[in-house]
Amino acid sequence: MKKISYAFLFIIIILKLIGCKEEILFKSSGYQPKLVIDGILTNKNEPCTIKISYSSPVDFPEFATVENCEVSIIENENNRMDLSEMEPGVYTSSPDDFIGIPGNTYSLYVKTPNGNEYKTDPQLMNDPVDIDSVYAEFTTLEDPDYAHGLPGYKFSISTEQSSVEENYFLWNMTETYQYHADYKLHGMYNKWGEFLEIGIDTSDIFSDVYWCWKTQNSGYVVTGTTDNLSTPQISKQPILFVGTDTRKLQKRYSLLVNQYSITEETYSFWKKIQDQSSNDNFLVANQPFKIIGNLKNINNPDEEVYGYFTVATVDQTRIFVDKPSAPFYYTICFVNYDLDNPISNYYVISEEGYPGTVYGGCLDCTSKSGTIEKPDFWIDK
Amino acid sequence: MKFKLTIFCFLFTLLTSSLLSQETEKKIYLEKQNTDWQTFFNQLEQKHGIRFFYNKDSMPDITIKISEDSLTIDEALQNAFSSSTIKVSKDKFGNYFLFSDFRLKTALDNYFMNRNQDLESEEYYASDEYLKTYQDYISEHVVIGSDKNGSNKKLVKFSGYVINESDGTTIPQARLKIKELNMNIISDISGFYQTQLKPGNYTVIANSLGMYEKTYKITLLSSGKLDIALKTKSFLMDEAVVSANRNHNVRSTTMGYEKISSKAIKELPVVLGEQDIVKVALLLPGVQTIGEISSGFNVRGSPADQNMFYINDLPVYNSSHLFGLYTTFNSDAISEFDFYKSNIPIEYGGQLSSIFDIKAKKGNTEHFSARGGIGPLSSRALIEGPLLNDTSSTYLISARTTYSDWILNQIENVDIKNSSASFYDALASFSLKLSQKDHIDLFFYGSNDKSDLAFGIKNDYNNIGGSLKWTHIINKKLISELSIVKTQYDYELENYEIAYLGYKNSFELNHNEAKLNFKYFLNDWHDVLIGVNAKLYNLNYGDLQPLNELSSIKTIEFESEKAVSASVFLSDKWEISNEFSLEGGVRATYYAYLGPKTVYSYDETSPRDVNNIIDSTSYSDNSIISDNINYDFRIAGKYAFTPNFSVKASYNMLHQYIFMLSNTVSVSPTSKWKLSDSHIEPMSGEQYSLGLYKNLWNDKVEASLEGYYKDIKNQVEYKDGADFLTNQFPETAIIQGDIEAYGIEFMIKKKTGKINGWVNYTYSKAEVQAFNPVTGEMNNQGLAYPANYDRPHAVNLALNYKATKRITLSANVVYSTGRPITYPTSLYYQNGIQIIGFSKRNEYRLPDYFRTDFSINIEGNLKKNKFAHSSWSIGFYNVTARKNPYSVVFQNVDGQIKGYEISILGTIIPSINYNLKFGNYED
Repeated sequence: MKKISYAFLFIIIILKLIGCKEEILFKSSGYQPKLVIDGILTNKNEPCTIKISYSSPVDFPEFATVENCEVSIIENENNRMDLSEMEPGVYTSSPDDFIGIPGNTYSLYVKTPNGNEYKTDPQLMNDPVDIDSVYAEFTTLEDPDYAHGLPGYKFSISTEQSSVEENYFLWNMTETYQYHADYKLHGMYNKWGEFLEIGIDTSDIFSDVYWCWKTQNSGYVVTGTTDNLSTPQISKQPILFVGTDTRKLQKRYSLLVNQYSITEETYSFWKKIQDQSSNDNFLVANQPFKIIGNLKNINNPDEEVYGYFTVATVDQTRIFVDKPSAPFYYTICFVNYDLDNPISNYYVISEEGYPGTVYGGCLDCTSKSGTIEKPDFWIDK
Repeated sequence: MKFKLTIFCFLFTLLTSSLLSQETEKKIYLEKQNTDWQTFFNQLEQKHGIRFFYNKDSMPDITIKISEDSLTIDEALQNAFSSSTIKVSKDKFGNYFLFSDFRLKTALDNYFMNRNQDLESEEYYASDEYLKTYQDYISEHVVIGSDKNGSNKKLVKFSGYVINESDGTTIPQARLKIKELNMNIISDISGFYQTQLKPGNYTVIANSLGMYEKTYKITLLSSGKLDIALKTKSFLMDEAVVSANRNHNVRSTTMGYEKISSKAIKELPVVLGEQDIVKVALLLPGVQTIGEISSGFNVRGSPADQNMFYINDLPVYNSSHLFGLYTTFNSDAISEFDFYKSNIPIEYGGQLSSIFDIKAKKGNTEHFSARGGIGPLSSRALIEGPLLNDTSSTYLISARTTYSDWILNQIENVDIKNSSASFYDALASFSLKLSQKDHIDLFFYGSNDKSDLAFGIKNDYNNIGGSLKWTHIINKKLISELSIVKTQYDYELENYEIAYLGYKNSFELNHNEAKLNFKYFLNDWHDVLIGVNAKLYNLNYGDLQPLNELSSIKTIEFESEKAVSASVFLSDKWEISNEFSLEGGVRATYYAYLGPKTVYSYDETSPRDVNNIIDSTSYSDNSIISDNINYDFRIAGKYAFTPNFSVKASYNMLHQYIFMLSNTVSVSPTSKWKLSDSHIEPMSGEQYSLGLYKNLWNDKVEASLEGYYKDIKNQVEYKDGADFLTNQFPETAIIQGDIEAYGIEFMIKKKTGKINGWVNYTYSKAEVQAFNPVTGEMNNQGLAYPANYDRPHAVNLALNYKATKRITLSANVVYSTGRPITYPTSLYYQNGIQIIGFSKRNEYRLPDYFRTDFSINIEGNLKKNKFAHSSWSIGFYNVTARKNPYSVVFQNVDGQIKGYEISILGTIIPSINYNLKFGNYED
């Protein structure tokens, strides 16, 4: 969720003060690596992946894998299933012989190469609750950085009514969007100093890399519960805001929502994670604290292990939205208008209609880590 | 012979100089003592440079006995030598001459002086200076009693009150001199004086510190009363006043005490157009805050809910407007506040850390008066005057409101227009004198804050209450005070951030209190205070309800809470000798937590959790769920090595039965209060203090060094990540722990003079530990951690410079160590999302805090008689524009955690305030 400090904005405005919010670089101090467990076991017919790593210093994020672990999942405290290391630090089950079944319990066992043994308590797999629908609503968000607000799509989710009164959900979103390189090549000079105009004198060598698709995790954790509701049904829980401050809405955007039905205990872990990663409203900011997961060192219960072995039933929905008719606020490639001192041999015409040179990356959408392969699920408008 | 010649020379010099200079006479008041005359003279010579001239051989063996406070030297000498043949004289320089059987003339007869004045021109007559003098000495002729009643009486009673004309307060220890008899009467603690005189004509000269002298010619026919109203001096002269003040820096037993009067407020830097008298406390040693936007003060290592603000005995449970930028007290209507952080008077119980005892002004006794102020954010108005044309009863009504809503509406952005915030506060004070011995104070107070923040939180909170105080003078030594207090703090909260989760909730705290105190001035050595106090608390947590039809929130009913407490207290102030005094008190409190309520019992050995409920009991209305008796002991002692240097020590113990549940770093307006119950023990606090106190340069400069150690037990802390909003079992969300705090505070203060102000340095530590070894519940892995407001080093400087009589410049400089924060120390990934691993609680610190404020106060002309007086206050907050970090927040930006440092008021903030009042500067 894009959630800016409105209270902060508000105070600035009403008091006509210049308040200040400045990004700070994290200083790395007091860093001690801790074991991190990351994995979800679902009822879906897909491999269960458990990642084992060490936490990294704040100023140097990395995925420090722990290899050669013994990893297994124990069903109902007797049926043991070993996972194998497919990539360094990534342990995977074979879906052919192992899928989670609602009503059963699962615990994770890990033995690291240095001989430490870790185990979670048995985690119950709840009955599934299906997604009713995912909504995309075009709206303008108040944002202190944008005088007229930030336009974008607000995605929200409704679940079907559950048969159980207390349900706990974790939503994880994967976004895929089609975008283009910032510029189309207008022309370039050949080795004899002749200007070749694209479409007349030569063809566009960048035409293949103008359109790209990019798939990534939305980066946000959203949780919800029907615990306090009169009917056990979530209706229009906001899950993500995608604004025109990015390239995401340039052409077409697709959101894949995974709805995990989890236990209350698992929910309480993810809720804390959610609270702490959107803890930007300093007026009501809660006291931050260390969140410890459910994996425990069998011999040394005081050892803190980060992360959670989540057991959940899952439902999925995909939704598409198209480019809105609204102003965009992302910054695009720098164009050098000084034609006597070109920065490259790539000449473009800027939006304002002036010729200039740009670096090759501005013509190649893959430079923004997208791919030119259209995903299988992609449906054009 | 040689001796006589010296005197003659002296005589000559002083004669000439007394004609040339109009030097103000030094008034020196003495404290109770019993010494021989030689020691007495030596003391005064050393302390005040007063010289005594006498012939040692002719001096009788006389003991100087001063049994009343605030006698002047003249009075003391008169009393001591009246029975002997020694005559005392004094010159304009304050030198004393003691001769056997004849009085030395130290000045020319008034006849000569008058002749001199007659020669002055008309012009001089018209000047302000002369006018003042002229008015002061005009005699009012009053006839008291009637011939019929007095004719056959030998002695008749002459009595009355001495009151401050500007605010109607009585003036204790005012001096009435009956010129003809050379007799002095001192008014008692309630401002009452009485004596017996023969019927006849007298001249009564009344004066008191900081007041204009007033002379009456009276014709006393029979017993009767004369109430004397004295005017406050516009400007205090540079007179050194040593009074036997109750809370004297060196001589009293009081420690960790400060009195801030409304006079001081004119010399305060203006912040956002307001001079906030209560916020001066933040410049005192041992008082910290989390930041600009936090409604709490943290005194000597205690959380904000361990302080209590009283305004005329009325407790105010939320003392902040606009997220703590202002306090809810309109400084115009405040005469002073007493701040206790060390040995808290025994009549207070219930808050462990400090007491802010705010006194509202009393109305003008003489005439109607009004004043007001206009600032950038708010305006104030105040009216006052005598009630029903009766000079002894007065009223004062003040109100303050903001127009921030109007400012919001001026902003074009539609979304911001949707936001709103406003506040107002008002008070009314009525002072009624029923008789010589009965006085009633009626006081009402209310404040309101409304805000509707664009992101979906609507909040409305109120304080409202009234107090009735009846002071009855039983006799000269015994005063009773009966107070009845009712106050309510409530709020309503609406949250519409997410439609289907929209809810509303309300909270209401009712505090009813009755208090009866007896002040018994047993004798010159003992002041006794006995009292009883009863409180009834009603806390209503409301229901959590769906906000509207879009919301699918389930209504949660919260049970209300009720408790009573009854206290009996006794204290005695014992002046053992001049050097040594003791003050001790005990307060016994019975506390009962009452039904109706359902009480759950938990498995004692595992963490208190809904899943560990083993039983529940229903209690009927007013049945006792749990009760206890606690004893608070307070003792303080002082030993004075010299009259200007003392050491003091105190021990304080207190219990607190009501606390605030807050999980936020700063105090949010929606924090709920909660009573101690069968699961939650009352908090208790002990404080040991030791200090050295020294006054320098005729008491112009006060220095003190105070150390303290504080131990708080059963401190209520939120469990990590706990939520109180939807929790019907609040006992599962908390854990009780300890706070250990200690520190040392150094303060130098210059109270008077062209340049006055103070500077202080504090070193302090405050650590919290929350760990229950039985259930295994803990915060921060059971380790002690610095409190959120722990700022080890703090320096405050407050300076005023009276450039001219009309212009005062003020500056504040504030430095402190940055407050502790919990900081990210590692990163990891879950489900493709970056997650922060936090350090131990409050393991890191924000950068140091530094701020300088500056302001200038310009008074309008200072003519004595005019229709209205105006003044301008121009202030600059944070002159160096330093961006002091208030907080660090973490935000997930496209899956990457980013940290932001937030600073509030991180720039120069100028403001201007226009104040206007009818009448003169200091009426």
